[in-house]
Amino acid sequence: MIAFLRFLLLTGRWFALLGVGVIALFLLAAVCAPLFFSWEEATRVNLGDALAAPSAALPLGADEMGRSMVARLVWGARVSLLVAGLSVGVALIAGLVIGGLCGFYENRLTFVTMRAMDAIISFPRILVAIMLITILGPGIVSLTLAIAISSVPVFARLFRGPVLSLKKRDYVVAARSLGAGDGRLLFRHVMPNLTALIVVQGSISLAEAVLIASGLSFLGLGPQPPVPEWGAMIAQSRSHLMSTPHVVLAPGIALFVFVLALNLVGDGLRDFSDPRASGTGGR
Amino acid sequence: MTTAPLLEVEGLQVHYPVHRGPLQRRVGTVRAVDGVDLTLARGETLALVGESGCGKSTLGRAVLRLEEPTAGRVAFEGRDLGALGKAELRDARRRMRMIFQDPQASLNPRFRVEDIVGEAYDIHGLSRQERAAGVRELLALVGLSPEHARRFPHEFSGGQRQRIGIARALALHPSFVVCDEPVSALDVSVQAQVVNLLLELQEKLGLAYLFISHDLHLVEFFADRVAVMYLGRIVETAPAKALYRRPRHPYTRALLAASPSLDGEGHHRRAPLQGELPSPLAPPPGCTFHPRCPFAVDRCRAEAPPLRDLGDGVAARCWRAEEIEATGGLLAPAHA
Repeated sequence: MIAFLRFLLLTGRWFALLGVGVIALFLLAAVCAPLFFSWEEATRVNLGDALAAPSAALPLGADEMGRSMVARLVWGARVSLLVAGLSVGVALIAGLVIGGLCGFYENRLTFVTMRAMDAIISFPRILVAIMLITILGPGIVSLTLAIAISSVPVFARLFRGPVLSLKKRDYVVAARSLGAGDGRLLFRHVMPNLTALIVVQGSISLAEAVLIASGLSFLGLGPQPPVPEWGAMIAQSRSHLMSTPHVVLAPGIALFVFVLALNLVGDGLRDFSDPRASGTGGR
Repeated sequence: MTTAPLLEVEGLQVHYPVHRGPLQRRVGTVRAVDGVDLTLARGETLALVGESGCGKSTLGRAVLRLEEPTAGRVAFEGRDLGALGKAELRDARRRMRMIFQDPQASLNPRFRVEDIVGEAYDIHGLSRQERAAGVRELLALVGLSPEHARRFPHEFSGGQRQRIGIARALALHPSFVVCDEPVSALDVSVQAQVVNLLLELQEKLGLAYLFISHDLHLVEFFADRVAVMYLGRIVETAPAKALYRRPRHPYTRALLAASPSLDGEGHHRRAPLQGELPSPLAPPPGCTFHPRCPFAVDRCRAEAPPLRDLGDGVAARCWRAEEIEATGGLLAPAHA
């Protein structure tokens, strides 16, 4: 982490640094949400303040139910980060297992598995997610699961490629010649080479997951009201776009800034892990 | 005491199916190793020589069961490696090892030297103390100092890296080591050092080497016996002295002519080999060497010669070995 920040500083990658800062801010907001605003503030209907303009008490105004926009945004960050983080985490692990095994063992079973992955990839991810939510029913858990499952094939394919070539490296053969079992070869000699790929792809997938989560919530397939979720907030307030734009723009801008920051950091991580760009990578 | 051979290889074949097209239909077979017999005694050095692509590395790996043979039998220290279960095979791997061609590629860049050299101790469940003592001893054995143990491979020169590879191969006292072109990736100045180290270690530890090389003149200095390989088969095998003095197979003659010897003798005497190695997917009929052989006659094109015993431990896979030998290779080329 410190090495990454130093790399960004020394090579003048200011946008990526900015991204790190923004993500830190969002993370802080999400983790500390209950310290700033109570769950009450974010969800209690108070029609007296409906569509209130920004003021000292309500810094970003209130939505059509009179709920504080800031409170809802901060609690919404929590939902977004939780859904995106969990789904990417689950997908990453499942992708590592499937991609790793299918790369390490080449037989009929793994061939069929990878073709199944290809079949899933051929559908747009959001469509796969919608299908899964239709089966599982809407809610935070099924949203997370749907995003996770729809991104497993991406990870599986991504990780299989390098495993295919890594397992033929001389040092892997050397370890086998010493008597090492498959588990040792896979976990001690092959998998550690995937860390850079995991970090880079993980950060980019996180941005994608946030977007898909918001998109699905916008369609009403995510957490149900009154749980604040950026996409759902946009959907609820969209009829007020012309009269009181802040109720739509606030979650929209939050989403935009957060996804942009994740992508900027992802780019920074990619440069950081590319030995040709940084001169510090493995090899 | 009757000395059973340390290693016995019989009819070893490694064939690779070639799949093409969307249905992955099998369209052919690459016969990388096609029926090889070898024996190796304790403490002996057998050199395996041939052009790149002739299957010598595959043979070396198949002997160690790093490559699954298609057919044939490999017996090591009296045990048939093909019949061993997982645990027994791991046990056998304490006694047989490999040294790789490229010391850079064969050392995990993320491991420290002590972890590379000590990995065998971890795998075979030895204690931390045994491992630490073993690593120290092995590093000293190959001429590295104890403080090298904490370093990473990229901190070493090519020759030093190969020493690390050798130390790893010698962990837990193996009796047999496959050296797969162990010096061809090294500077000429370092090659001699590494070869000398290998010979010294052989002397000290009583190792048997299967020394794979493309350079006949390199192995001349230390091989007990030489086997020349062509397109997955052994075409000539002989005690080293006999092979260099009187090569029987035309391919051996050509190889000797092609590689410059240190004393310059015989350098430009014979014409180098014409043509290229045929595709192992479609080997020529009859003797596989006939398209490139200056002595080929009709029989060679029609009928594959067996490895014929020519006496004095010499065997060659050539119909005309005696004829060619008798005329000192001056026999008129058949198709002149």
